[in-house]
This record gives sequence, structure tokens and C-alpha cells, in this order.
Amino acid sequence: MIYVEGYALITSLGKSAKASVRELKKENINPISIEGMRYYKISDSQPLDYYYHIEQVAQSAIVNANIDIKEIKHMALFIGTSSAKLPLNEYYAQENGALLKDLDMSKITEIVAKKLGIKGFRTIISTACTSSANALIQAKEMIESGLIKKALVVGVELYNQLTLKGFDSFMLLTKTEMKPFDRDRDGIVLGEALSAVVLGHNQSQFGLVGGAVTVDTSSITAPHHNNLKKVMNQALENANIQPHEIELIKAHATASIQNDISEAKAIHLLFSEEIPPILPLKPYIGHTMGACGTNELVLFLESLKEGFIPKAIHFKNRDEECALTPNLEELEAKEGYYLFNYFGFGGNNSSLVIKYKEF
Amino acid sequence: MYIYAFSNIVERVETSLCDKKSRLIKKFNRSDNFINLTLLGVQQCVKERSLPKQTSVYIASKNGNMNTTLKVFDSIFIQKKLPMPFDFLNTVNSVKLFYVAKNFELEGKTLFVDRFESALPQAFVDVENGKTVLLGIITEAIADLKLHREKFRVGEMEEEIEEEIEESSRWLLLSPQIEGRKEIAKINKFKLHHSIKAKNSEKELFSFLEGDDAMLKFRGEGLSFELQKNY
Repeated sequence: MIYVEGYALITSLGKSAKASVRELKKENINPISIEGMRYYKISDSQPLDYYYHIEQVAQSAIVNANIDIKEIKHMALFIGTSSAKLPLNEYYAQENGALLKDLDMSKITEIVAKKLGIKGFRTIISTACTSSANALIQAKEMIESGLIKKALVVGVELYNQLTLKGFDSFMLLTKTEMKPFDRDRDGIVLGEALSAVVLGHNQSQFGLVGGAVTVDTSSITAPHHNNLKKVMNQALENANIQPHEIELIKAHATASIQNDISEAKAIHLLFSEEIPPILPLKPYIGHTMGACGTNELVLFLESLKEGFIPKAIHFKNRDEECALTPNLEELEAKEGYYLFNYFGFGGNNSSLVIKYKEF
Repeated sequence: MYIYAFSNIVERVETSLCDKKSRLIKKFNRSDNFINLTLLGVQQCVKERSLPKQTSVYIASKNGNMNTTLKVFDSIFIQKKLPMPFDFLNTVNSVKLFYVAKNFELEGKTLFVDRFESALPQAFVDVENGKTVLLGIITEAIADLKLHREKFRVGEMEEEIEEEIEESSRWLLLSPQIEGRKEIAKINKFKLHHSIKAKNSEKELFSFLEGDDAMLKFRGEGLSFELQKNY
């Protein structure tokens, strides 16, 4: 089995996994306003902090996983990001009008690997909102194949105007708050955050036991429920478990009208009468795009470690088309299997299964 | 791992980027230059073959979609307005994969990565797990050729070699051995290494596939393998 050996997180809630979960529990959520749009910003974050943030979160995960310094150079590095170097390019565009300073994505892993002393395999994975979830799945499969032994998987999404204005051009952003599955939901609030996860064979409380990635070509922007059912089902098959064994679903839940309906219908199709509790996490940290895979995973795992499962926030009125009420009460952490959904533009859909065992 | 088909499309850019869309069998309304270049290469690689639905698709590209990114930057930073929605969408890397999957009605894994050396080991794992893989390496040129020369210093090489501007779309169809079907080459002794410097580029790999040599010992950054034809 492949285990989560360690992790770290930097969000608008706090600059560590512990601090983020502490503020989550207090519901201390403070999106700021950028040109009239709400946004979850890491406090004091500047565009040129790009590599500093990545190095910081990666180092913290390595420390958390208790990795020997000699082991670091053998690790593989996976970075999941949708916007890649856009924040840096935009900084230069604003400063001196130099459009397209440098888009070469491979430099990100080159620079980060050099700073950390990693000499193993390295890759960027860029598949919109599923980027870092896919990075976890790819790392898992490469470890299982024996090509690599241990992987550092980093999800990175920092503030950039292209994403914010691109989403605005599709009228996908809300001016109020994210209300996944609610009858009155009206869109997404974006956010910046980054996280790092160490995967390997050393036993821990959390096993990454299943994962699947599929492409849905029915629409370039909105997934079809049959295809979402398929990816969840494939992840369960990969984990060798049945739907009734799932304790809770961390939903992708973007609070956009169509996507929530598709995800809800897919959950009904797969789980039938036995729907487990549903948890949207984006209202706490925003939709952190390519990094949401690792960000929401770490936020959830740290909550389990603290002994609880967060409650859904901002939900008030049930939408009959979704016919789902998310988990409105904080629950006690419980051993078992947890399903994580991530869906992205370009029909790229992913699901992960985590097995939690108390030590 | 076996190579069952490949394409090696290289478009020389002289005065402007050449039209690709007219050469596509399946055309998409909102596709841009990068997407059309991608489709042109994959179309030539796959030809009339039918692919398993679960075929994985990998696209490797260091700089991605530069022309549409420039267009969107121009909207935001110069014209101070929102980008056109489908221009924004075409900058999203998974969207390029969507068009490839749609073209061949695929339902498997689709991944956009930064370079060939990142893509091949991941494809290798998929093939070991019994899957067919389409792997493409795409390089787009900037339509503003003056800007392209500035960015990539074409013609300013130390050796004073006058390099030409090129766009390329190179594809491999990889699979475990398929009974009754003739492969083009076999990839043997596939290994990952710590920090080995590249001796070969993907360009040489495709030249080898087009040429008469029987064996190529490929050494890319961090990986090595033997490519064998007529074994």
C-alpha cells in the first residue's frame, strides 16, 4: 500500500496545516475583494514569493514525513498546477509591460528540485482543477510500479489575474459566498493556497488506496453525471472496495449551478439509497484550482488527525435538483475509506480513495 | 513497451505561422494554433487505426500555448478588459487534451506535462499496466516572429548557426505487444537515473524512427533506454 507519510499546507486560513484547521474550526474565513470579486488570499503573499512559498511548503512536508537528508535526493518531485508560472509572468507584465517573460514550466521543477536537493524523477502536471489530484495518482502508480520509491507531490496555485478574469468572463464567480449544493448557489470564489504531500511505503494513518483519472468529452466546461459516476467507480474499483464502504465524500462542489447538479446526480447514481455524508471544503479556502487536490486532501487529513470531520458551511436551502444536503454538523473522526472528487475544464475528472486508520 | 506508430511533423516558419486547420480531417470551431498543431500530429500518427477507449493521452510542452496566452495577456494588461471566454479556455492545458480525446472518442487518462522526459516514464507505467498510450510533444512558435526571435534567441547561437523557427508536433503510439500487429520499434532497458545529463533529444529519437539505423541508445535528462528496430 502507498501511504501519506507527511504533509504541509499554506492557505488563506493559516500558514500550516495545523493553523489552517484551527481557523477552519472557528470558521474564521475572510475572503478579500479584488476589483469587486471575492478572493481567498494568503496573508502578506507577494508575486515574487512564488518559489519561497513552494520551498517552504515542500520543506515542511519533508520535515513532517521525517525524511532523512540522505533520502531526499532519491525522491521524485511532482508539481500539480494549473496556472504554473502565470503569477510571475503577470508581475513582469504589470511592472514593465513584458508580456510573456518566461512560460517554461519545466523550470519550476528544475528550480525547486535544486533548492531541495532532489535528484530523482520530476514532472509538472497541468490539468486545470485536477492537476495536483492527478499528480497524487501518477505518483502512486509510479511508486507501485517500482520506478520510484518515494514522491513529494506539491500542489501550487497562487494569485493570477488570468484565472480570475477568465472565470469572470464565463460568469462563474459569485459576488457573495460559495454555497455548494444550495438552491441559491451562484458561483465560485477563487483562492490561492499550496500544499505538499509525501507518498511512500512507510506506514502511516493514511493510505492512498485508490485513484482514477478519466476524460469526459461530452462538454469542455461541464461534466456529465454518467462520466463522474464512472470516475468515482473506477477509483473504488482501484481501491478494491464497494460504494457502501465509503464513510464520506469530499465533493468537488464548486457551487456552480451545472457542476453541482452533475456531481449530485453522479453520487445518486453510484450510491443509490446509501449516500454517505457529503462535504464541500471550498467554502473554507476557496477554489484553489490546480492545487485543490492536495490542498483539500491535507485540510481533511489534518482535521481527522485533530479528531473531527468538518461541517459544510453556507448551506441553507436544499436544491431539489441536486437532492443532497451536505454534512451540516461536525462529526467525530472515524476509521474507514474516504472518497475525494476533483473535476476540471477539458473534461478531466479524478477521484481518490484514502483509508484512515487510527494509530 | 512497443512503438506501433509515430508522426514527426515539423513546420518551418518563414514569414508567418502556416495554416493547419485546413489539413485536419476533424475540425473544431474554437481551436487555436496550438490545438490545431496538436491535432495535425496526432492525426498523422493514428491514421485510420481504432484506439482502445481507455487509451491514455500525454501532451508534453514546455511553453504550452504561447499565442493564445499572449492574446489573453494583451486583453487583460494592455486593453484592460476581460479576455474572450474561449481564448481563456484555450490557455487551460487540459483543454488541448480534450480535443485529442474527442477526436478519437477516448475515455481514459489525459495528462499535460512539461517535457518528454516527464511524460515517457509515466507512459511507461501505463503500458506496463496494459494500456495503450498516445504521447505527443508539441512546440509552438510565437506568431510575432520578432518576439519569438527575442524570446528564444534564434540566430544568436554561440556557434553563429542561423537556426530556423520551427513548430513541431511529434507523437508516439505506445502499447504492450499486440499479437498479430507489427511494431515499429521496441523500447528496452528503460531506466530512470539521478541527474544524468541529456545526450539525446526527442528530435533524434524521431529521426531514428524515420531512418535506417537499427538501434538507438537514448540518454535523455534523467532517463535512458534502448530503442531497437528489426530485432
